[in-house]
Amino acid sequence: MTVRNATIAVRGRDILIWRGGAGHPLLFLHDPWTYGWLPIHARLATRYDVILPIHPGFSGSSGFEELDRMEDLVFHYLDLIEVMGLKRPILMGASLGGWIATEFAVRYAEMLRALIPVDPLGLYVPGAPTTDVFQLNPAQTRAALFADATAPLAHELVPDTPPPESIEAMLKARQVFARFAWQFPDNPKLVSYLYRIKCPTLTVWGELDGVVPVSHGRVYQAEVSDAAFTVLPGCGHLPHVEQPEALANTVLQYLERR
Amino acid sequence: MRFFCFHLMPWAYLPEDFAQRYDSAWVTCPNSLYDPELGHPLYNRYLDELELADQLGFEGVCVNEHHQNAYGNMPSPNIMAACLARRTQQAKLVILGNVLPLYDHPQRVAEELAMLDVITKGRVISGMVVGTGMEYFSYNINPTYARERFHEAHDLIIKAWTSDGPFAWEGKHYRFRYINLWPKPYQKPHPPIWIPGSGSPETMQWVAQQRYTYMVLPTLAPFELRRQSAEYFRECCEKGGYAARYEQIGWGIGVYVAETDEQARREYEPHFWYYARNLLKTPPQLSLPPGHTSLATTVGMAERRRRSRPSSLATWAEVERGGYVVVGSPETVRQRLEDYAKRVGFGVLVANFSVGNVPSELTQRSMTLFAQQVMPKLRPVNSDASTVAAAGR
Repeated sequence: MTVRNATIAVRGRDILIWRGGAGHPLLFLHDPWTYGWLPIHARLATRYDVILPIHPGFSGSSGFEELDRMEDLVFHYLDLIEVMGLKRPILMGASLGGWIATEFAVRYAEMLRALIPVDPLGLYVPGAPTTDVFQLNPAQTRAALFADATAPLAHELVPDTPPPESIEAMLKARQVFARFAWQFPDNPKLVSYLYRIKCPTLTVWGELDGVVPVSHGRVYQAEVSDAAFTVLPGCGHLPHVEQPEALANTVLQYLERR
Repeated sequence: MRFFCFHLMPWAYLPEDFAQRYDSAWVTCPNSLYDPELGHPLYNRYLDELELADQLGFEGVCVNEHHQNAYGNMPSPNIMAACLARRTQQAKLVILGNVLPLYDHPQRVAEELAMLDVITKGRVISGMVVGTGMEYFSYNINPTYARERFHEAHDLIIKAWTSDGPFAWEGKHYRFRYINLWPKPYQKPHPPIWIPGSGSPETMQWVAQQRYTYMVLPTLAPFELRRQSAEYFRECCEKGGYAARYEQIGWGIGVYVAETDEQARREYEPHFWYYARNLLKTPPQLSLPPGHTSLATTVGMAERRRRSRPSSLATWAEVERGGYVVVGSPETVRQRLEDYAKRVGFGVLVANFSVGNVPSELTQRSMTLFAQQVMPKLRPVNSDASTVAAAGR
């Protein structure tokens, strides 16, 4: 499998796209801490045409200034799917990306073959608050994000002191993340619209997610008509980083059956 | 030189082991540590000190705005200014300043300042600030809009002060069909504007463009870093095609005067450490939320913070050497401030006499010594009036 990256224009924005594999298109919307091709993408690319666009404002993609509301990102991905000519893609997203994917799906489910939110932000569930990650120091952030906060990968993604070569990319990522997720990373009305998701939906959650409680996954299960729900044991907020094999197996098996 | 007396109105009763037990004096610092029984005399004592500054001949008294913290107990600076408005006679009321991006109705700020200006027959100086990062946590304002909201609110307030209403405001963050200020400010075209800052280049560039006064905040940073800020501001003015006047540069600094250097240090030092170790305690993720400053500035600030962390200050020798505060006999204080004034070129001195938990009688004695023995000698230094007079001769 070969991985390519290229910058395409989406309504005047320069968007960096990673792409690898062949098969049905699988559009992967990334989380705020990773913005590049990872082992999870390679695993999914053994079976699918994996497309990983970098969100506007993250390092490599422009357009932050035009983003104000989640709706702006939904329209951005509507434009991107159109520009790239993707036919009924599988829409998968992690964390912030999972929220975007869900917001897309409540509006345009008929365009999707399947929806796969992984530890998505976005729901407001009374009694199950999300963590304010912006008030955490790096050590606390690692503890919230990872089941094993001591893992080298945890330190790489959330270093105590960012290395000079990646500090700008990290600040940009935080800035976009904050625009959508400051204090309350949710849309209080999203739960009431989950019924609009009429495509097959697999929600996956890390059992030990310290950012969004697993109980949010049960709300997906209850509100979405064609919903499957898998909890990955011993895994934190970023299963695609911490347990890419387990997540890929779950996703590939689900998609095989559908 | 023009002299102003600044007050932070800190909470003076944090427990001795505060710095060991709590990681922040802001946002999450438990307000069970606040006691209104102690707060009542404390507020009134602080206001007495500012009233004394008026009697001692300071040109103005300064208050500011911070929220949900032990560092400064003035969530509403306009209320403090209102308390002072009818209890002071001559002093200008300098509000340093209103944190504009926190408010969804900037016309409220315009209205309150106009009220104060009319009540005092034009004694208001209006500071406007983006605010610390911490305020964005306390008020749930998205920090990625801090700069946009600041500029738009500023423009709205200036227009509200200077244009006849009603007019409509159609901006990105603020939309109003009817802006129509009652009352309008007493001063024409509007109260003078001072912008306090802690060194972010984009603020200085903008202040220079507007030809406002830039005040180098008395944040605990070494003299040299703060001097560089003033120098950068002067360069911005030059790029804008004019030379900064002395009174366009304000210098905030902690000052303490006693009979002798030794006495001054002995009386002041413990309270300085209370300030540096307790009141300034903030983790970086609270002080530098995303987007609160530009990317370039944030990188620079993180670096600057590493170099000037007050928590890394350990000895009084470092404090003295770094020029963090000016403490000593009247003569020592005069010499130091004159030296700083000549090296920096500031014509507005904003002195903070009540750092940390200095007892009131000591604060008042220090202010009195300063007013009687230091002020008269420094007055001719960096005076725009004397420059103009000399040029006219």
